Amino acid sequence: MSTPLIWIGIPIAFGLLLLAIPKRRRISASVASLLSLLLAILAFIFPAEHVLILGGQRYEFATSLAWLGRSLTITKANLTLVGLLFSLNFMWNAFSNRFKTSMYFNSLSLVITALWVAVMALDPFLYSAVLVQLIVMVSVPLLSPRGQAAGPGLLRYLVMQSLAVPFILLSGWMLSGIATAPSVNPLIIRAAMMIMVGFALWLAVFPLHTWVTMLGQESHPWVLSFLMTMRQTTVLVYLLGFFDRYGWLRTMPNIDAMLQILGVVLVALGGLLCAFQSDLRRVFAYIFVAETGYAILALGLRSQGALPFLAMSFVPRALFYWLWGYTLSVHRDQLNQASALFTDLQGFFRRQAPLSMAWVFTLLGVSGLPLLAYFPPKRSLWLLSGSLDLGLTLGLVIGVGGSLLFVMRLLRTLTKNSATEQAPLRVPVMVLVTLALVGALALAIGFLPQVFLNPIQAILSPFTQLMGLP
Amino acid sequence: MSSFDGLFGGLALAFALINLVRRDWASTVIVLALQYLALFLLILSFAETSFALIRILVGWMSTLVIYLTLASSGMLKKLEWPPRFSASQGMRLMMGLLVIAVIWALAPNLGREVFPFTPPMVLVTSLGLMVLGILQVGMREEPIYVTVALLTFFSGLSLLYGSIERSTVLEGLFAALDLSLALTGAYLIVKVSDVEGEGEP
Repeated sequence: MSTPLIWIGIPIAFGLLLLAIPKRRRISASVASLLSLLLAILAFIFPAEHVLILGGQRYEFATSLAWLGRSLTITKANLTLVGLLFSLNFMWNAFSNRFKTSMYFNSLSLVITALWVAVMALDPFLYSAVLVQLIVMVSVPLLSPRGQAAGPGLLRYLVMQSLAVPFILLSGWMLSGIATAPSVNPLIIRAAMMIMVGFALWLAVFPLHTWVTMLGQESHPWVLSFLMTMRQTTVLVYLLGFFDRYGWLRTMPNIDAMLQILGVVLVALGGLLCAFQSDLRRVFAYIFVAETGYAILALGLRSQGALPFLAMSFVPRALFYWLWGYTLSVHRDQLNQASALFTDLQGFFRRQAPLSMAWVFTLLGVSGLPLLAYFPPKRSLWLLSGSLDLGLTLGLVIGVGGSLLFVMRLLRTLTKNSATEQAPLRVPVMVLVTLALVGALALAIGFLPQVFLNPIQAILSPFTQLMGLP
Repeated sequence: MSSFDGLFGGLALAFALINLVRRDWASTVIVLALQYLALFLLILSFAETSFALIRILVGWMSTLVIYLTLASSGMLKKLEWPPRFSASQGMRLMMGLLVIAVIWALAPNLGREVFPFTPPMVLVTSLGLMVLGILQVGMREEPIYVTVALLTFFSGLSLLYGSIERSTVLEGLFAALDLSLALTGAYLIVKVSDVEGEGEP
């Protein structure tokens, strides 16, 4: 038995088996949730020596699996990320059968999670670009279930993601050729540019973000929030891998300053574009752009010790993405509201106060409101940027200001008197309990970041060069 | 460059160009199959037979998936003969030819500086297929054309990467990618026919 077999082979096998019973949603959801939870727990408690002793029996696990002449490798250092990915898969699957998502959601989400793990495990790691494209293909039936015409956003998603593959693959090939060259080599600039364009396409960096906006309007919010959370988490860690492996990329002149500026520009643009939206389903795209900005800013501030805050931000970000997907899905499927436009949300607070409050809570939370889960890592990033350059602070203020302006507009819309009297909407008690529990969790993380967020910093342990570890 | 390399590369580009220009599903599928045949012959000139065989088998399987989907959903119409030639087709043809000319002009420099191990005709063909694929994607929105365009794009990329580095795992991944792309395309085509069917009285 080997670790890749446990965290890649088994979930793919179960995912494929579940494909045979797509209409048994309850069974599919239970199996996918339970398996994800088990794999997540196992990843977090797996011993460093890769040896398990169960019932007096000693089980030794190999960390590598040979595959077509290459290998898939998962060591203890990778298991925090693996555990996080399966935890996310559990969070989304556990509530999936409450919503009208694709009947393949449970099975394909298992396959997708396993493939994201494979992206991190494949050696040589550059080939993972093709795996990312495979994930895109697998996600198409989820984003556009049968019975609906494929929207332009889906096709744009396919195209944009396909374009990223050659940039990453060929840049990697160029990089391997110049790994020992001096940093003044012009090929370095070329290869670095290709990497940046490839990742910009993958992470929907402005102005290549339009497919997320369009998918927000076309696809189910539960599916989109799941796919984008997995994508952002893993692709960012994959990007760290590039910086860890290629010393000359880390030491390129002005690379840190460029990353800082790019990050802050994305935060500012995400906030500004968000401020003027009038459809809740489109907002996720701008939150996503701003969050990518924060991650890139943290990478640019790595000399100032910002990488642990990047790792710490994965959990609160995923929590708020989850909450955003959940509230929009409840609005769409359980309250049967087809539109999330401001014009249709006037006076919604009187009809459904808990959901309205949850939207405001999520937006404030993801903006970094004090006491909530995201405040500790964001506060650290704000302080580090402020200590470095006033321009960076200004960009961050614009970004946060834009998000807050949107919250104000949303609040005004939700509490505005509607022209017509509308009956209150009722949601099941379980929805209220879930919202309360997640809200409490967000507060608990905010109050006790050392308990909830510090362990996640272990995601960085494979990156010994980047972190300057022995 | 041997004359056969030039012939097969030129044929592959010509087929991609036809797919860029034509708007006819039956001819699109046939021309895609022919494009894979031309690529197979081109790959034989610089790589071992097994490598070339994988490409053509996977390519033809992908084409077959698309063909069967179109045929089973009744979307395949009889080939129009003689083909009509519209102004927009002329425009697309001009753009395609221009792109190939630019690549032809840039290829020697690019080959010298970036891809020194790639035979010149392979470089021109692979870059040409990639760019024609992108052009097609930019001009069409129907799932079948997007699928065929992306298959063309990835056949160019796998040709280029195959000339740089031969790796079984990467070949396997490209094969899986092509097949999954064809299946995704089939899924999207079926969805279109489902939705169109629902709209009928």
